[in-house]
Amino acid sequence: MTVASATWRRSRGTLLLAFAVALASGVLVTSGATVIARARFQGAAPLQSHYYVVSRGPLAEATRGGLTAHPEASIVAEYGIDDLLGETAVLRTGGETLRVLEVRMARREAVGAAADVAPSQGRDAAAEVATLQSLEGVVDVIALAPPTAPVPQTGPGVVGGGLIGVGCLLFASGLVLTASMAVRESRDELAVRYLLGAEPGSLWRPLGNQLGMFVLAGTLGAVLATWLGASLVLGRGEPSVATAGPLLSPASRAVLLAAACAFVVGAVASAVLAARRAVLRITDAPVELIGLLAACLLCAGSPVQASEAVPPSDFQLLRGVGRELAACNRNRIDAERTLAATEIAAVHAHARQNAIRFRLANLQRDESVRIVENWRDTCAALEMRRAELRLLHGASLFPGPPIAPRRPPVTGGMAIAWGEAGLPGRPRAFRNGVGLRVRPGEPVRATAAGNVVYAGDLAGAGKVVVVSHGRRTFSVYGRVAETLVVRGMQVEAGEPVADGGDDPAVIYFSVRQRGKPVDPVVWLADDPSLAGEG
Amino acid sequence: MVRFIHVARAWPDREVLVDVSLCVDSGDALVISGPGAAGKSTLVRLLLGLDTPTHGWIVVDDLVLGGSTPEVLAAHRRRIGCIAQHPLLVGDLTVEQNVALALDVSGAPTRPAQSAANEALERAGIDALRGRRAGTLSAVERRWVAVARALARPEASLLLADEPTADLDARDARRLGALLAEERAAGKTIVVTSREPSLAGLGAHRLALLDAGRITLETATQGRVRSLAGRIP
Repeated sequence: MTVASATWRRSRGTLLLAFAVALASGVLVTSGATVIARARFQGAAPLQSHYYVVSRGPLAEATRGGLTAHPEASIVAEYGIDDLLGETAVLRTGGETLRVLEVRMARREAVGAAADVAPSQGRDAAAEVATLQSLEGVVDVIALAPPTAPVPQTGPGVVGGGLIGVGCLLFASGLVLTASMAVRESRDELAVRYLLGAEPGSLWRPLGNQLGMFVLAGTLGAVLATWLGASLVLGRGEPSVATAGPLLSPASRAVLLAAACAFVVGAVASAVLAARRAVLRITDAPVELIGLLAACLLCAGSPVQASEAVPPSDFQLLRGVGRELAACNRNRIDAERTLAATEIAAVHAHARQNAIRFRLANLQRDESVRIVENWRDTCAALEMRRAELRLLHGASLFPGPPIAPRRPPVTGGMAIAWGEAGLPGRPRAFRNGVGLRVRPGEPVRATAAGNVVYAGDLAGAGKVVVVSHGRRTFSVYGRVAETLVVRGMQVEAGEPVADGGDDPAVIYFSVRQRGKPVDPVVWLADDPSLAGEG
Repeated sequence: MVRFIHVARAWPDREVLVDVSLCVDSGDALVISGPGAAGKSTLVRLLLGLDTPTHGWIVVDDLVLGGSTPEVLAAHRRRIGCIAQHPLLVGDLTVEQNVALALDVSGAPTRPAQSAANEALERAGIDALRGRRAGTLSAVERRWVAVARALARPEASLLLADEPTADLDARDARRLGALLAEERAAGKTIVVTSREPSLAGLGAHRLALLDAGRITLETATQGRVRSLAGRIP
């Protein structure tokens, strides 16, 4: 650390120089190669024709791969379907919509036969369309424009070669300059180490460290330059250094390969040396360190194994399915919106008599219909799975013995049904529960066996009894005349817990599961003992 | 133990050392004194193995310098704590790192090296400079860093000081002498070159007077040095 920071402090100027030189020479070489590549490409392409290749979104990559592998096809541009059906702003783009690849096909056999172009054109076009149709993921191929004659280009080889030459020269001089600066900067330390009696073999270490850092900086610069050049040029879909490789002479390729290998070897070697040095500085026993690292790796690996060994719980499964279902539903809704937007786009295109757009919109509509149906099927399957899981693993979702039997707390009828509270003419106080009529003198009975957790007055609800039934389920009896139990008492199903009295004609009854109120009637009907009998 | 046996060193145009014979036993202290350009620094260079004599031999402990391989010479230098006339420090490293460098080349692990370096800095009285970069130090401070580096060497059996008091005042010179005396008491051999014939604080030592590349006088005790001091040109 200290040595690294000292090396950085000492040589940041040189590091920046190495970086800048590599960057500049990288840009020069890339530009030169690009100029040559373009010249060769344009010289080699005598006749071209344009097509829209419409591909299914998820398969666009495969289509692109197929086109790249095709010797005569080159991708000019790529569009999302909504780039072309521009007036439908609501149309969503994404992996699922159609992609349109604009492709240029070269026809080499037409050179020198200009008079014969017209008859051969139809046959060629059909063959080309058939070829493009056969690619993976292609939905349709639309011919755009008749073949165009190429514009001849002359004499850019000198410019490209010159750029490459200047780049190489700059790079070589940068190498010499940085190496000499490294030697000069580490001269002091070399001298001190020599005087102090350092082993001759270890003397070059500071120099090696420094050179290693310069190589890293230079590599970074060169990589960045190449990336910049490539992204600037490739982004426009034109031939670049990437296509220049096969056009270079074997000797040039060998030189470039050797330079690249030297860079890689230098970077790896310096990294290894730095790591070794760091290890030696951290500990005197590298073996121990390696043991420690191995132990750390094992420790890091063990939770993974543990998680593989323990199957997910039922609740996790159910939650996972729930999430998947929610995502599916979102996707389904998206797809349905896309379908609607496509219909609109098709109508617009038809109204404007734009044949290409109409065709594209129709294609997109077919695709959308397929996608919507797909999502609907998936959602249905997930719904089924969720219901299955709920049935199968309901017990494990709510730990504890099943709550059975379940009985209505009173024999009177429903006064305020589930969800009615707060509606006009219905008191809000009964929200999250139901109002049940009590016959005069009838006691309020516990709906199921449980433990009284509350009995007494509650602001706004009068006298209230709350019984816990386990499995995080509680029943609440409110607005009763008198409580007959105290907190902590065990009650059986049907045991009186409160006196309905004569006066309050309606009591409040609510069931809460896992903190959420549920419809008490549904809960009562869901009695496991009834299911068993059934 | 250091022995110069009829050592001569000549350049094409002049002779720097002529038939120098000296003997310093283990645990002994020798001050080599003489005017400028008398050949003192050449003696130091020969002793460090940076130069080879044109005639004669130099023997340090059981090693005859001259003709040794670089590895042997490096091992020899690791046994020498050297306070050079113009201390060579790495300007970008801190004082502590410069001192620890002496242990680093000996193959000492980092943490013990740092604690040894700190101990040496405290002994040299410059632990306040620990974190300063060596490039920002004054000449006197550089000198003390060199002293600390020489003290920090774990395996040194010979302490070599070339004009150590050149830019020190009397008090600092006495302190340095006392430090060298401590090292000598620990069993190290001390060789000092200096214009001044005695080094205050070093205690009883032997003196060799060097003039124009020749030994003109070699004494045995400090008492003799005192009496001779007035006669030195």
